Parts: sequence; C-alpha cells; structure tokens
Amino acid sequence: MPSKEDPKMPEQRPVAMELHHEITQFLHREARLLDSDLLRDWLTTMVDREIRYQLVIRDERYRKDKSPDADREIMPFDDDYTILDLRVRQFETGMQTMLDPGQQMFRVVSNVEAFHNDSEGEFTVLSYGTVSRFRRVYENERSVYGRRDVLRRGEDGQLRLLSRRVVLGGRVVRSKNLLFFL
Amino acid sequence: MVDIKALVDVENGTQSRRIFWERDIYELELERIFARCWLFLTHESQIPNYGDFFVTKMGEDEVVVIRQKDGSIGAFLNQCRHRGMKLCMAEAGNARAFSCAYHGWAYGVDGTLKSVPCEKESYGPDFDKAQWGLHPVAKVESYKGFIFGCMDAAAPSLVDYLGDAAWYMDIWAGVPGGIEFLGPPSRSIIRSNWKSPPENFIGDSYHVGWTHAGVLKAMTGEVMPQLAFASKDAGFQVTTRYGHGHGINWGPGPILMSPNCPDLFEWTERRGVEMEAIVGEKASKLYSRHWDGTLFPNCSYLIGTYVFKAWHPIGPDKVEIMTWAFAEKDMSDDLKHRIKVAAHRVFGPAGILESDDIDNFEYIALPNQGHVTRQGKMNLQMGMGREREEADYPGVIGDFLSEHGQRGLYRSWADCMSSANWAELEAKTASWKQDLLRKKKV
Ligand code: FES
Ligand SMILES: [Fe+2]
Repeated sequence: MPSKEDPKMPEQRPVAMELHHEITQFLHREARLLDSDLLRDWLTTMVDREIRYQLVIRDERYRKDKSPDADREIMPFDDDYTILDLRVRQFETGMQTMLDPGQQMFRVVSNVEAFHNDSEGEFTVLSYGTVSRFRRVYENERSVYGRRDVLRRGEDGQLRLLSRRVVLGGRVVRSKNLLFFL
Repeated sequence: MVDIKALVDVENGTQSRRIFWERDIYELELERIFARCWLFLTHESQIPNYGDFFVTKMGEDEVVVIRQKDGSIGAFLNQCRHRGMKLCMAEAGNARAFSCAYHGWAYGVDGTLKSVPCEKESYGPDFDKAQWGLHPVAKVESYKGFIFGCMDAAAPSLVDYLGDAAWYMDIWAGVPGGIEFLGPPSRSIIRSNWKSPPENFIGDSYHVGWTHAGVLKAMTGEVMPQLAFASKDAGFQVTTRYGHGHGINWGPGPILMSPNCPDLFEWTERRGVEMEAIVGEKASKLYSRHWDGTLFPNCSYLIGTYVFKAWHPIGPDKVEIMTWAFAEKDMSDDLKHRIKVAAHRVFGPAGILESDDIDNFEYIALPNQGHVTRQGKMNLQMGMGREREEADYPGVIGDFLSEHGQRGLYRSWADCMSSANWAELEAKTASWKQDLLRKKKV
C-alpha cells in the first residue's frame, strides 16, 4: 500500500476467511454500482453518514526531505457526506455536457487485505485498483490506485464505508479529470 | 516565415485555428512569447527559507527557483553544464547544493559550480569552474509575493510589464500580511493548446451558465441563465497593454466556496472595508467580488475562489496545468485548510467545475487535426465596439458579458509574435489604448 502509514500493520489481526469474503464482495459491489452509474444507490446503501473520503496526491521530493505530509499532499477529494452528495447531485442534473454521450468505466479491485480494528465491527481494508474509462469514441484512460478503507458494520448488520483514503499512482494526472469515485 | 496578420485579425476579432495546432507557429511562440515575456514561477510563500527550491517551467525550459542566502531569489535552467543532464530531480524541497546524478558536478544555491569530482586529476590545474555555473534566468522579480522570471534581459521591469494589471493585483494581493500559497500545486496534463485555458480564464463569462449548468444547479438549486451576466450591473472586463485582463463580477466573491467556507463572506466584507485605506475606496469595492483573470501569457486566477494556475505548454497540443490554492496569511489555520480543500474541489484535477472546462479545452484543439478544419477561423467578436475608458478603473474597459479580455490576449499575442525584440514590441504597443479605442467601429 503506497501510504505513509505503517505498511506492516503489526498490531492488527487479519479477518477470517468468511469475513474476508464478505468484505471483498462489498468492494466488488461498490465497483459494480459505480460502473453502472448507480451513484445514488452507492451513496445511500454503502457509504456511512460519517464518511471521510480522501484522494491524495503527494509531491515528489528527495528521500531526505522530512517535510510533514500535510505540506506535501494535495487532496483532489477530501469530502464528507454532504460533499459526496453534492458531487452525486452534479451527475444527477443530467446537464453536464461533458458526460453526454455517457462514458464507460471498469473498476478492477485486487490485493484485498482486511484487519480487525480495535472497535468492534470496524475493519481496515487495503486494496489496489485500476479504473479504465472509455469515452468520446477514442478516449481510453486508466488510473491506478491504492486504498486504505475503514468499513463499519451498521445496526442493520450491513457494512458501510466509514473512511477511504485513495492514493493515486503518479504525480501528474494524465486522464483529463478525476471526476469519478474510486 | 509565419505571417502573423494572417493568423490573428485584431481588427475583426478573429483567429486562425492554425495557431492552436501548428508546430512552426508554436516554436515561434516559445521564442517570442515564452522566452520574452515575464512568466509566473512560484510564490514567495512556497520558498520562504534559504535553500528552499521549487522546480517549474518557462515555456518548455525547466527552471529551479531558489531562495538565496540574502533572501533574494535566483532561478536557473534545471540542467547540468557538463553533459547537460537534468539537474534537480525533486520538484521542491530545501538544499544547500545540487549535485548531478551523472558524474557528480555540484552547484551551489547561487548557481555557481562548486565541485567537480577528481577535478585536479582529470581536468588539470587550469579548469575554470567560474565559466560553468548554472544558466541563470535573465531577470527574476517579485510583485506582492508573486515571483516571475523573464528570459529576456531587454524586457521592461515586472511592474511595467504588469502595467494597469498591477492596480488590480494590489486589491487582492496587497492585503495586510500578504498572500500565502497552500501546499504544492496539483498537476495534470491535458490535450489542449496552451492558449485555450488562459483565454477562458481571462473573461469567458459566456460559458459559465452553460458549461457549468449542472454543477451550479447542484450547488445552488437553480439553473443560472446565461443572460444573468448580460446585465449592465453584472460587472466589467478589463484589458491592458500587454494583454493581461480581468472579468470582474459584482456578485459575491466566495460563492463557489460556500459549502465549506461560509465564513469567507464575512471575512471578505470586513477586509473590503479595511482595504479602503490601502487601495482607496473605488478599488476596495472590488475586493469582495468574484473575478477571473489572466496575466499574459500563461497564468490565471480566480479571486473569491482562491485558485491560482499556471498553464505550461508541452508542444502545440498539450498543456500541463499547475493549480495552487491560496489564502491570506492573516487567516486562521482552520480557514486556510478549508480553503485548500475547497479550491481543489472546484478547480483541482477532480474539480467539479474544472472537469467541465477541460473537456472543452481538449475538443477545441483536437478538431484541428483536420486540414480543412484548421484553415477556418474562430470568433471573439462579442462586445466589439463597446471598448471604453472609465475614470475609476485603469485599462480599457468592456462589458462583463463580452470577449473583450480574450481579444486583448490575442492582440498581445499578435504584438509579441510580430516583434523581433522588446524595443519593437514596446514601440508597437506604445499607443495601444488609443488604437483600441479608435477601433470602436466594427
Ligand atoms: S552531466 Fe552532470 S556531471 Fe556530467
Ligand atoms: Fe469554466
């Protein structure tokens, strides 16, 4: 996981196989809803109201540079639920010329690891992903990313996304824009 | 030889599509615009301490901008003088020396060649290191903390180059305590010609209610009619001698920041009153409003949205965008953080407004692949004939819903491209204001 947080995860217990399966299915379902433009369904059924959703890009410096992360990061996304809702409403207006004709997206999720958090019913989930986007006949772009999520089991027994930190591969965005959820 | 008159018709407000595609025109732009004009490098707040550096571009020349021991700023081509390798591989940081990855020549922050491995043994006693320092950018100056570089030693001073635009810059950048850039820039490469984004940011009020209709509806709950900007009370546009321009809208400045930074409305109202003593009453009235602006050739900003951008050309068909969020130094850390997030949210790479714009910029450029398409011309005639002087505002004024600023950008483009040097350019533009006002009859 290309994150500054401890990649060894020493304190945390991996989840058992059945829970791992449930979590993986959660990530796959997310990818399917997002690929299918079912953004409202994704938001209301899979995202916790207390969500913190971040997408981070770090600048490139020499190894000896000890500047704090906060000085080195840009957050194209740093959203709570109300902002995610605003972004979904932007798509729902149907008025974005940029999205007409519609585009095709394919999210592939892999390298899923899941660990128990200290609080009951919360799990840290690491994954890698790629997203390909096809649009305007000729456009074909791909982004690669790593994610560190926290999933929380709600009172209804369903897992929901409580926090997500996406680290995007590459310093310079080459895919026109990142106007999609990862 | 490129025939500039055939490419940009300043009298009629039209431009050939060839200037957005053809390589020979682009090469001349690198020479006559990017190697001649003052270009934005970075902001002083990005390199506050001795040895702090930031790597950026001037045209396609990469430069390292470094804070010197005496507090001044130096800028040098980012290339080793030995076999020409790119020197600094980090984009920012702090250093006392820069050593080349190839053979280890090392340069000081002042650009001098400090050490050459095995110097005595390999070059002998007579090697003159003083001859092989880094290539300096001819001029480096800063205005209100904004650092600009110029490759042409014959250029006028930065403040003269800004001209009437400096009066406008004083209003938002001349605040007590000054401006601070918040973190590194976001960077993206898009498939457009470098002129399309600054052209848009200089004053394209026309596209706002159309291109951004979706996001504006999502934010405000209403569809903003394009007609809203046609009112005489909407604001005004400005153009200046060297093509810098602004569109100033009388609407409240921080409108796009409202979801996270509602306190900015109060901040700007209060600050606007304080600014009266600093810039005068007329100017201070502009402080809390929403503006777009471009400093010719390739940096733009949105006042009220706290976004500053540089547009670096990569060939005639690609642009690298650097986007910074900025704040006033006097603001609280909490507000600065929220501004940083909100500014990138609207105009960063996942920006809810930016994303609409980029698709336009790309599809202005791409059709020019067609030979016949490329022979066509584009139209910036909106509001021609309404150029005027206004006692309260420097520069030449046009309507807010017009292409006044954009015409100014291409006027300056044509002036630069048809001049062999600064002397010619200064002579050509000496009576720019009278020339422009005379052109009122379409
Ligand atoms: S190229 Fe830099 S030391 Fe040789
Ligand atoms: Fe726009």
